Amino acid sequence: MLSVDGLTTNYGSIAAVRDVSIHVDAGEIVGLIGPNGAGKSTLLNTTVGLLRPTTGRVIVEGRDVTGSSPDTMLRLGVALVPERRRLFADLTVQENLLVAGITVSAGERQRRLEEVVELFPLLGRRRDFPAGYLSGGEAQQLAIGRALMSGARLLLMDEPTLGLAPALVDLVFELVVDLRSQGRTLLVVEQNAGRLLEVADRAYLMRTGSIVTEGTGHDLRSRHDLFEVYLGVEA
Amino acid sequence: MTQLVQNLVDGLGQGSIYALLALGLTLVFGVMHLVNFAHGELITVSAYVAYALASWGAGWGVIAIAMIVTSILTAVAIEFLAFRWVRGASEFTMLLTSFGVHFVVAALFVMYVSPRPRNIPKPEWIFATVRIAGITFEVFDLVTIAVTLVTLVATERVLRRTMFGIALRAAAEDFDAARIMGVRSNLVIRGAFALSGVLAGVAGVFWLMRTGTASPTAGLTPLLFGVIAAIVGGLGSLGGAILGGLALGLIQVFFRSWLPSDLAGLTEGLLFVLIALLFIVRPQGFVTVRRAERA
Repeated sequence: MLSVDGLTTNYGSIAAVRDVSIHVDAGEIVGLIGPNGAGKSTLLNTTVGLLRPTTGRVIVEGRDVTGSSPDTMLRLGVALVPERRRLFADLTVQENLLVAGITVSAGERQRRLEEVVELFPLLGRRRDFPAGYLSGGEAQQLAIGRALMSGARLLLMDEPTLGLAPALVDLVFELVVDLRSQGRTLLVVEQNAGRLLEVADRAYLMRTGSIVTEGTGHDLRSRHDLFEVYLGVEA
Repeated sequence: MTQLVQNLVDGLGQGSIYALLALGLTLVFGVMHLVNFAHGELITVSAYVAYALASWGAGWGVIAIAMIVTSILTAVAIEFLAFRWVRGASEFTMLLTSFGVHFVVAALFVMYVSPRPRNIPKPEWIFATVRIAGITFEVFDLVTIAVTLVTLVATERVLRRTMFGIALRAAAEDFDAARIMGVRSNLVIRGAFALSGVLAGVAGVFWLMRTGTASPTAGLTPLLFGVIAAIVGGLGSLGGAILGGLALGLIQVFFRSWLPSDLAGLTEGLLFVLIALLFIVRPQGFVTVRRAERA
């Protein structure tokens, strides 16, 4: 579904992502883990066209889409749920969802809006609330709801559990599994590596801009050495 | 009492023009972080179009429409020719670019038209007055306030009810997040300039009706008040811009009316002292604007 091939992205003269190649197949949950500053967010941002790669290619379903703008990527079915959610706090819940459906026709947008509200009844009750007033859990639902508005089949999620209470973290991981069972594909960046590897089919471990290792979620979970060395946490 | 009400209406009339300019400036600032000192050129260029039409005998109805259309086209053209190239540059670079545009436009009119102001006959009704409840008002003030109100309501509709408006507000809050949602940069930036052109066009019509002159720097004074109103309002807040414009107009009129006549010349000076005081007390302006962290 998605493959990234030899991608390098520079911030000034520093390569934040260096010669990275990953692939995500349809129906998979793929994890991307690694310490802060490993380049995980940069990799996602480059993939959706927010940043331009210095070298390398981004391929979606066999098409080379390197350097395409985010709206083109959305039309191809690739959506990003950005780090820290980036909700439009002054816009209402409904407006947040509508703007996320800007790439689809008006009728389609309205239909999807109803679908998302059905999926997240809490959001339905707060439709006309400014998004800035939502609680952490509601805000995360809105962030994911926005990605669904475009009808994306591949969701790139950047730290979806950041700043959430433990009970809500469970909810997010349940949702990730639910989305996959609805036929969507997910590439998830997480600090919470242990939890992600429980649900991920495969995962990549990234450090200082490069992929260090990859394997199935199960394999990586049993590699205690990696956890200590690269993440500095107990698995 | 009579005097107070008259001043109030006069101030709101004056302030309406500033509010329209400040709102346009704020819309553009929201999506680009540019304080557009070339915004006055929209009035300058459309004033010359008005002059040309007036000298061919066109009436003010035609002139008004032509001015608004010219203002929109000029705004979009300036974005396309100048600001498109400095998108994402530092705010200082963009500020200098806008000064550059101002000087180039002024120079073009000096070279190809004339450095001297051109006079345009004012419409006759602007001197008319009307008595309501025993108080005499200038018709011009009432018309300015009414048209501004209609324009603001229409703008509010566009910003709240259309996808373009929602996208524009989203982009003003967090431009990159809006792009992540699929909003196209070109759409919102050109749209914001076009909308600022509509507002400046309406403001320009009233400004020109009052001053009656087209000159290479005709837009400079209204621009200055527009910029101040936008900053006083909190730069980036749409409501703040309107509030700032109205406040500026009111203060100007009240100063002029209350100051002893030998001090009336200090109106503008005192106005700036007042603004300086405001910024000491409230550096963020009337309305605090939430700004997205830049990633």
